[in-house]
Amino acid sequence: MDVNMAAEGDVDLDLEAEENCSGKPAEKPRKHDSGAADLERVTDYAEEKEISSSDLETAMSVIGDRRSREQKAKQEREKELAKVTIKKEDVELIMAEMEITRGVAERSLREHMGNVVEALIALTN
Amino acid sequence: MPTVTLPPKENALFKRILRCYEHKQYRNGLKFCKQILSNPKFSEHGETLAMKGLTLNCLGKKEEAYELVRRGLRNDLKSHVCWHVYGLLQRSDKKYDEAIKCYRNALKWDKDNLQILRDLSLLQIQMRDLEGYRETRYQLLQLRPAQRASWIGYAIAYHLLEDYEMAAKIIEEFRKTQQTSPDKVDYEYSELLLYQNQVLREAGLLKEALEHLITYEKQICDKLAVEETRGELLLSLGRFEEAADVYRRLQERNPENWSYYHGLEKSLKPATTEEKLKIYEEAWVKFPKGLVPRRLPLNFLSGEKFRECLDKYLRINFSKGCPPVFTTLKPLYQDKDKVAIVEELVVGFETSLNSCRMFNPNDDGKEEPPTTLLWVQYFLAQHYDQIGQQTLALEYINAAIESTPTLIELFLVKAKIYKHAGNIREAARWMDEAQALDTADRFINSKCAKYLLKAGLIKEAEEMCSKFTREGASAVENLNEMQCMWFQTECALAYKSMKKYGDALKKCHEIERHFVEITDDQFDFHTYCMRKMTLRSYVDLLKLEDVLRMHPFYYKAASTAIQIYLNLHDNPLTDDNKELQTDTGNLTDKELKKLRNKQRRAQKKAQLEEEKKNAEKEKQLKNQKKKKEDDDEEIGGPKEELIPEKLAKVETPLDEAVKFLIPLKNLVKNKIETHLLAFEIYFRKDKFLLMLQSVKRAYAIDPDHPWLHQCLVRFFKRVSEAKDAANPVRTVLKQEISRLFGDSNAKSFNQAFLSKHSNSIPHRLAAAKGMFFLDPSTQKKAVELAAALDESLDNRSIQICTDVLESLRDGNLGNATETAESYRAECHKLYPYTLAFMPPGYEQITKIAVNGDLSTETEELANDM
Repeated sequence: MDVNMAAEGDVDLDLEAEENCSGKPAEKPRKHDSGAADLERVTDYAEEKEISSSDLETAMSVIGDRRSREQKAKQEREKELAKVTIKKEDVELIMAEMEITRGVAERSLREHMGNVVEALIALTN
Repeated sequence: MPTVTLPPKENALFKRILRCYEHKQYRNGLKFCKQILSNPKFSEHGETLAMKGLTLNCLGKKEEAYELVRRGLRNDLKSHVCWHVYGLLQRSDKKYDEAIKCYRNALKWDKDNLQILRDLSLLQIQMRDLEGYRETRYQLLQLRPAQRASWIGYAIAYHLLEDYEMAAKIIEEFRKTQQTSPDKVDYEYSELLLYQNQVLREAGLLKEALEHLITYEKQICDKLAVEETRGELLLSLGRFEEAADVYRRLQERNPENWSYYHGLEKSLKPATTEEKLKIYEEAWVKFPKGLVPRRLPLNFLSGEKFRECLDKYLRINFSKGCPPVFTTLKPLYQDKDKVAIVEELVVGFETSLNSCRMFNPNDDGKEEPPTTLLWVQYFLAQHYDQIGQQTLALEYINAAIESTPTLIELFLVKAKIYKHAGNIREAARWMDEAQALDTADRFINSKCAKYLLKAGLIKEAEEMCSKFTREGASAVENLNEMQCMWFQTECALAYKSMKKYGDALKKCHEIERHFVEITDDQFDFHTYCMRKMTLRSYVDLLKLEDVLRMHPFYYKAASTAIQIYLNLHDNPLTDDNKELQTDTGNLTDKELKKLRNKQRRAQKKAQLEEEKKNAEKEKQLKNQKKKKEDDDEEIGGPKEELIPEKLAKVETPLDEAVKFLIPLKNLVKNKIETHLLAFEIYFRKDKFLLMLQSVKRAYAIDPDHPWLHQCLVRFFKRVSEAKDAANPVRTVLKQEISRLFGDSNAKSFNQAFLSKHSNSIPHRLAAAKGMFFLDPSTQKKAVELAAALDESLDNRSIQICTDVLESLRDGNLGNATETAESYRAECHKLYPYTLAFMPPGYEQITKIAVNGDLSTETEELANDM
């Protein structure tokens, strides 16, 4: 749906047409019987609408503080997890046994403080 | 920044190229490209080359597009335009991960570029990188706080991350900036309000949500949504009297909506059945023609009251001639007492109508029209079919057909009865009869095609469908293009039962591709819905797409594919071991020769057909190609063609099976079959912990499932034999098995299972298989165990008997040919219609003919003689 033929209102500015643009059929064969025209419009270009109000600043400030707080909490959890030491062979065992990606394997191992048996049990739940 | 800056004239042209692209005026865009590139000074201008490529891509010239865009990028690696264009190109090719990388590169050179940020956010939401989406949306909001989309997008990000309060806050801030007069109807504002209300509800802020609803009620266009939401909120807030008023008003709007009665029940909180019934009695007076208020009490009433209500309900429906009345009562069939009452009542109707044309001889009143008797018989046929008494069902339906041989519904039910009785060929014949009565009815046409497929008549089914598919294209291709998945699923199953695994897999993969396409199609809605403010539907869409592969269509296709791959793993196809391979072990020389001859003929015929098909295909392909060149549709390039022979000769069947399994594991966790299929795969892959995972999950759903039991027996045996597993793996296995099952000795485990369920046929079969698997010397006992058919045993059905018969034949219980034959004969007595239990040789006698076309069948018969 991303692509469409030239809009019907196109003006031909240049008579010297490219090799592949001549003799275009005006109508496109429809893939589905109904609603085709509506679906076409989905990808039309549209200008963004603007808000005319002036009190955007207060609105913006409300959103600002909340964001910084939540980022901090997340970072701390990540930091804590990063501190856990894990063995490479354990990670590889988990990856092979559970058929999961390295990222997921590492994370589960860290969440279980590097205990491979516990991590595996959790993954089989 | 770009390394080459264009002089004003060319720069203006370049801007026009961009404009043309945005407005889909690709041909004009190309003309402007040419104007720049024809100037020798700028013939290698990177950004123009890239834009030319992007535009050509939109005209379907993918290869050329890639070449140009890459050339452009090489010429100007520091241009955000070139990177952005490369990203867009990859995106149109569905290479989303690559596209994201390109956008990130583009942002390196122009970090506040709105368009690139927007495009990035689209990909992030498409890929459900919700955190990333929120970040990008935050940047967009910072850059363009005056834009509507900035706010909405940011709010949606929080909503999807399930931070409802924050989402609600953002929407509220945004709403305040919207200036609307209370009297003006503004649909988009109305949608925004409803979305805000939804977020508040999901945040659990019910009081606020109700206040919000009341405050803005006048400005919301969807009045029904307002009332229904109000009802729900009042209920949840415990304001029952007000809720009752709301539901009464809703009832006036539509007395046939079940949920309003449920709402009313919840708000009036009747203490007894009588009080509950009163709610409906009121409705009978208010809406004398209403069917729902008559139907609903049947759910909770019992005994005499139930009979009374049912009597009235059925009389209305039968007099009126309402075909789906049986369907509306089907849920009641869980309750044996109710079934008995239904039977007694309707059989009474039938007798009385036959003798005096009234529902009851004691009625005084006018006579019923003859159609009433017809509908009563139609009902009884379905009733007896439902409770497994097909002979009686056929009697009633035949009586009805005799009186009215032109009513399509009757034939439909007759076909259904045969299907349930296990005779799909007879069923297809009657469905074809039904179809012949009205060839312009697409529903019955589809039904007929489905039955034909179930009967293994694929070609006939295709012909049937071709009555409604587009002319000039083959039915199968057209149905694929239209994503007609029921057809493809049935095809896959039909091919599978013929052991044409390649063709079956092709169908499964086609279905899988439909799902990929549906996921891709959501892309355009990320911008469209925000622009149109249809946020409720948008969020619903996203949530639907997240669980798309939960759909039964996917489940069926995936489980079929998995079963085939398992089979291909167990019995890989080699070159001289063709798909049509039959078991030749116990055939005499003469029979073998006959078989070979038959196969050769079939092969020759198939070859001829193949050639014909190929010629046709080529022609179609040519047409398609031409079409593609003409029209600019379809990008994303042709996918790899699905070739049955190649699919069947898969090298890593288990890995292919896992691909189909993963979505099921994530989305259909509550179905035990998911985990059992998973076990079968991992068992063959020797992945102990994944086997453990599968049985653990299955065990949590139904610990007594017969198939699970077989898995467990094999699992325990395999574990006891595995000595070389890694240490942690062994620890986990030991710990978990003893925690869940205590005992892990396969033999005693099997014995315990058998004693617990010795009265149920499917469980006996499972235990018998386990017994023979663990110790082949117990064969005699195992066969005896499986083949018992006494009346006193539970869960006897056509399906389980077929399974037992198959096990007796396929060697899962050792060689039991003799028992198999006597078992078949016994089953035949029990289920006289079932094809699977027919005496040997039956198949040849009763080939069925569709549309009177006997040619293919008689030919084959002649050859056999």
